[in-house]
Amino acid sequence: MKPRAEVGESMEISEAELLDMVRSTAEQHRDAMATAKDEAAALHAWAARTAGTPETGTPVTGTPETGTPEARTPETGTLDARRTTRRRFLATLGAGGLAVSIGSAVVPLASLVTPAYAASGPTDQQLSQFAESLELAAVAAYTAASASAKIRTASLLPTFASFSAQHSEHAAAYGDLAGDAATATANPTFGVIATQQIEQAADERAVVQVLLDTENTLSSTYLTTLGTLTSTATPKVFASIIPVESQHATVLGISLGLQLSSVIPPFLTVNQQLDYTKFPVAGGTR
Amino acid sequence: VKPGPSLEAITDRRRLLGAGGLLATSAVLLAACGSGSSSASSTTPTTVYRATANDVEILRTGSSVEAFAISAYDKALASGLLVDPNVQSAAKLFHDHHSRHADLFARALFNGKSTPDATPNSYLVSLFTPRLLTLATERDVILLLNDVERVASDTYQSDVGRFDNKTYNITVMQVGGTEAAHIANWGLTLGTSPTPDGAFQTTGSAVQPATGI
Repeated sequence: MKPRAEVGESMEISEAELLDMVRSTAEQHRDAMATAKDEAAALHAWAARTAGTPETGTPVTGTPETGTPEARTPETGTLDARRTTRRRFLATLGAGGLAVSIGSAVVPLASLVTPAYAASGPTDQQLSQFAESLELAAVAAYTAASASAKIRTASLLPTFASFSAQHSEHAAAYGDLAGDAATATANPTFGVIATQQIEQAADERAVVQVLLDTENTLSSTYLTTLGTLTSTATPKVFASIIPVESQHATVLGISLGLQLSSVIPPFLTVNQQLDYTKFPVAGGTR
Repeated sequence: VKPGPSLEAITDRRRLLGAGGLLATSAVLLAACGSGSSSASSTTPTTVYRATANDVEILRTGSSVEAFAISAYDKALASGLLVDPNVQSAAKLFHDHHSRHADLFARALFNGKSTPDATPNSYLVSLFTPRLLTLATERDVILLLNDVERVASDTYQSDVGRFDNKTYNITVMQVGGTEAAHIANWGLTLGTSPTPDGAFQTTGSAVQPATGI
């Protein structure tokens, strides 16, 4: 049993532990790729082929949406839970009076959404396009973190590199699902927020905290999307990525020396989901 | 350029609504959705969802997997082999998580007019019992718990796309995402990868619906 490092000023894991972990990640990843990558590639190919195939299951029914905050309890397929369906995305379109403040720019939400889109809701292709843009924003965030000169714990850098590479793979998978709608571009709004926060971070801890928020944001967003996607195959790709974002968050949270109960809540939540309409992909909604 | 808002502030709906005015926002949302008058928010739902047999089968399998995970953690904590306080603490926390996961599945099933399977999954009992009987070191226990988490996480991931009611996709992945985090923690403890499958989790250890219940 390897002793857990003492809780230090900023890091609970020792450099040696992190290096071992990253090395192990790389080695195991290489070993696993012979089968896992084939499996993932097959899954993505299958998903790309079958994207758009409608589900034939029981339609979700319930009361009209109220626009109230989502239930704080885990989703159970009840009427409350249905607030996380496609309607949530539609519901947020009505917030035309709100605006997103990024730096000195204030962008009216109404200008970011086309009426046609508002009427029909996002398609699986659009949600995959959105996810692709978030993944590339995450890559940009890790790149900014590594280049920030604020990272004093050397072993964090290979960890960032490993996680960044995985986000690149996620982006490629989502890009495949998005097909000709793929932008291969980081989400402009989210990317700016994340990189700006990293640039403004006071120290290593603050940088890691931004990355932790980024990971939780991605997993929350994808979790919500699972109630919205209509094809049979696309949700499976999202579901193969959510656990990995959760694992990234766990590593980052532990590296911050946070209480384990804070790092790993009993349930993954949708509380940090990003609204598709407030974070449009490059070039606007397609 | 002024400092931007924090990610947390941007993504925390509660804070956003609190700052922007919930009532005003809700009114706009209702109008935008064409979903009726403002009284809709206080209307008691009249539609009761009855889970399909398919959904019940998947959820009951999930509840039996959680029951097994609880029993595995019970045995681990009672083994006397967990001596590292950090490991003990994590095991107790994860045991509590699995209890709450079991409750979630039970609630989902009750809401769907069915009942949970609170008996540990018999397939997993058969699979893990030989190892449970031969635990000798703390590392043995952690490896076993890691594998139990792996089974659970793979199971819920593989369930996605199988439900008739897609909202259950969220239900299972709310749990599955936490099991994946458990795996990461045990990986760090063991000195192995916290992302053992690399960029995409696979489902090789999944328990198929209706197996072991």
